[in-house]
Amino acid sequence: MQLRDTPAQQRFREELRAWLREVLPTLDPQPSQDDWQARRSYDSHWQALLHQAGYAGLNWPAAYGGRGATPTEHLIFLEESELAGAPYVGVNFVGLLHAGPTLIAEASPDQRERHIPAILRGDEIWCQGFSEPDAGSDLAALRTRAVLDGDHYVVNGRKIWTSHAEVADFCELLVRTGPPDGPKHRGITWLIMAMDTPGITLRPLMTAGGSTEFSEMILEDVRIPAANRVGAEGDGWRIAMVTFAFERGTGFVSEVVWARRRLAEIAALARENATWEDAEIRRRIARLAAEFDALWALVKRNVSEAEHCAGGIPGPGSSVFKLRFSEARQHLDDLHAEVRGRESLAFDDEHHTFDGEPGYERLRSLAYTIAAGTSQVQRNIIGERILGLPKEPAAPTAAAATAKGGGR
Amino acid sequence: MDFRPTEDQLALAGAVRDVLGKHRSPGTPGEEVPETGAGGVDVALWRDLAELGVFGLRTPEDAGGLGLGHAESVHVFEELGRALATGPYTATALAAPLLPEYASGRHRVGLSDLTSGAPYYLEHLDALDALLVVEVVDGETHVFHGHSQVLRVEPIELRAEPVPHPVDPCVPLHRLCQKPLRGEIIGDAATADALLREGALLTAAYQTGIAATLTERAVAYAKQRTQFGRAIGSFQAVKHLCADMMARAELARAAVHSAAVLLDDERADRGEADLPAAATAVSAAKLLADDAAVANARAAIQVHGGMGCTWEMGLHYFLKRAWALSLAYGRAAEHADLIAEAL
Repeated sequence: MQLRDTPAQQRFREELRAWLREVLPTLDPQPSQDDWQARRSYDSHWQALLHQAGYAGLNWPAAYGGRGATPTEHLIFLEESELAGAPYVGVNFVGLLHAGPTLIAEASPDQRERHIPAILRGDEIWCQGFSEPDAGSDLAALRTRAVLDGDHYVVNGRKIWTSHAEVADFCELLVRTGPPDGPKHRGITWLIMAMDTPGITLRPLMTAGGSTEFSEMILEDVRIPAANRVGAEGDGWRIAMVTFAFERGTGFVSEVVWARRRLAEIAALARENATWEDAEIRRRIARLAAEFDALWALVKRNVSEAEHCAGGIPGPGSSVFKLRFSEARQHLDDLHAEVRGRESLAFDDEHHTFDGEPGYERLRSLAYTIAAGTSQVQRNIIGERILGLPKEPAAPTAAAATAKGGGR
Repeated sequence: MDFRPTEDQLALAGAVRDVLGKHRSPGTPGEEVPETGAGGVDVALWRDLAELGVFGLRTPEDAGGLGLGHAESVHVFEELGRALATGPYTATALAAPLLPEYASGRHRVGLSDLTSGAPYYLEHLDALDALLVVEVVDGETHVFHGHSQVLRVEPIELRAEPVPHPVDPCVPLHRLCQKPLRGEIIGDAATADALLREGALLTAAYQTGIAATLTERAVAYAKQRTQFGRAIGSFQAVKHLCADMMARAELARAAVHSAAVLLDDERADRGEADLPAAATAVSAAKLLADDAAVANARAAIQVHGGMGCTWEMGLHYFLKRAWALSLAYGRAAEHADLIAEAL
């Protein structure tokens, strides 16, 4: 068990630190969460800087323009970027963390050539069209239909929780191509949808924190070229699962670093306003510090395992991390509010939808135990895939229930 | 960085597990508490583990030990916790790097921390050859850090009364009736702090073993026990109890391993005097592991239903030990205050 950097890792860290020190002061102030065009330019500019410096697509294979970095180097990148206060991946999240890795793993050479370099440069923004109003945790129940008409799919349905849809150029879209009453995990297909195709309507959803980061997306007779299908028809579920493994494995790493720093700020504030004298508050701060330290250690354990196991795809151990981190993150924001007292009743006058605004973060953290697999789904994954407990029997399908009724 | 346990560390844990598997363990369902000699120590198990070198693990090689670090010790102690090995294992392992004559395991060494306040209980007193005492030099104020020192006391010269009904039936207790104690001063405040810190780490590793083995016990039972026509582990209400057990054990292990590595690294870099990162990490590990052991013992009993509350399943031994160890080498509030101080 070794926690120290190797000489090569140390070099990577120092070069990165030097670059961040040089480039971060040149950035404009971060735009509001609601100014979508400004966010797109800001995040794309940052991605272009990363690309020029050779830090774009850090963990992507060099053959696809990435750096081919190891999982540990990726971890160092996320840690140092967060410590230096560098911008988040922002509107490039889906492209870099979901769509890109999926295209590398599953797309045709033409599709890769068309999209991968543009994602890396920050020229192409992606959004995700997976969830539906009636297919949330039970994603495989999705019903958005795609019917082949000549060399196009004609798509009708509704998608929801589509982040960055307003500024996205493309959407990774899951549709049902198989029969509606067929086996639900088969018959799903993964399509690339250009967001300027006619028939797409966006309806913004306002979150409790007041942000419009999510939309509902209504699809009416949207014609998508069959050439935009990734993988085989009906193989979309398997392809989507590759993406989810990436999301759970690396999606929250910078957040642990952020949370540890935030906790230090909360401790400093508590000392300043004397809530520190309250032993209960002080010890809750300490317990959360212990929890985040342990979560950071768990990240290192998971990364070490990914580095030495097949494909660098995070294993099921990332579910343990996701479960505990998302709950700790909510405790953190609650504790912050408690230390702030009645200050916590008002948002910042000007920066109420900015990253780091405590009231905004507290409300945003509501989604942590829901997005990317709810805590209840994570517990099922741990129970069934890691511990090998039997699945809960599925509810009988309508067809099976009728057949049973008819036999009586 | 490669935070995975090494092949050697896994082999060491495997060897300890093999030895433990050859002896009876108090938590095994349907088994009586193993017959032990005076002082509640399974002498045969002690001898076999001593032969394996577990007491001299961190004693330098030229002094007859194995010259390994905390990263190895925590693997051994997680195994001891899994088997609920009973005896002054932690104290003897702590004494050996300090006093190499204890590396062989031929002597059993106890430890009593008198800085943590009354009542002063001594564990396994009748089995001890020596007792280390951490005490406050002047006065009786409760301090975790500060003017303390370490004494070596002859157990036979102590005045102590047996406690007739200890909650943990495997660990005999005596109540100390004598203060001040007479003995040889073998360490100053720094030694005392190091002993208590390392004791907290080994105890956290032991608690992690309890948390991990109970997760396995609960899962195995949930797969096999049927109600309403199916295995109870298929119900999400039960499955989620098991998932939380697993999460607690994994997180506690990550914290314990991280604290062990930081302690080894910081000692190599800075010597014994000042170990800021490692001290906080040990406290974090102790907090998480105590929680994991106690909460998993309760959850294991819950999953086992009514029988979980009886002596027949043996689960109560784990809960009773987990409670006792939560109060050893710093209780939750003390470790939380140490972490808070460092923030």
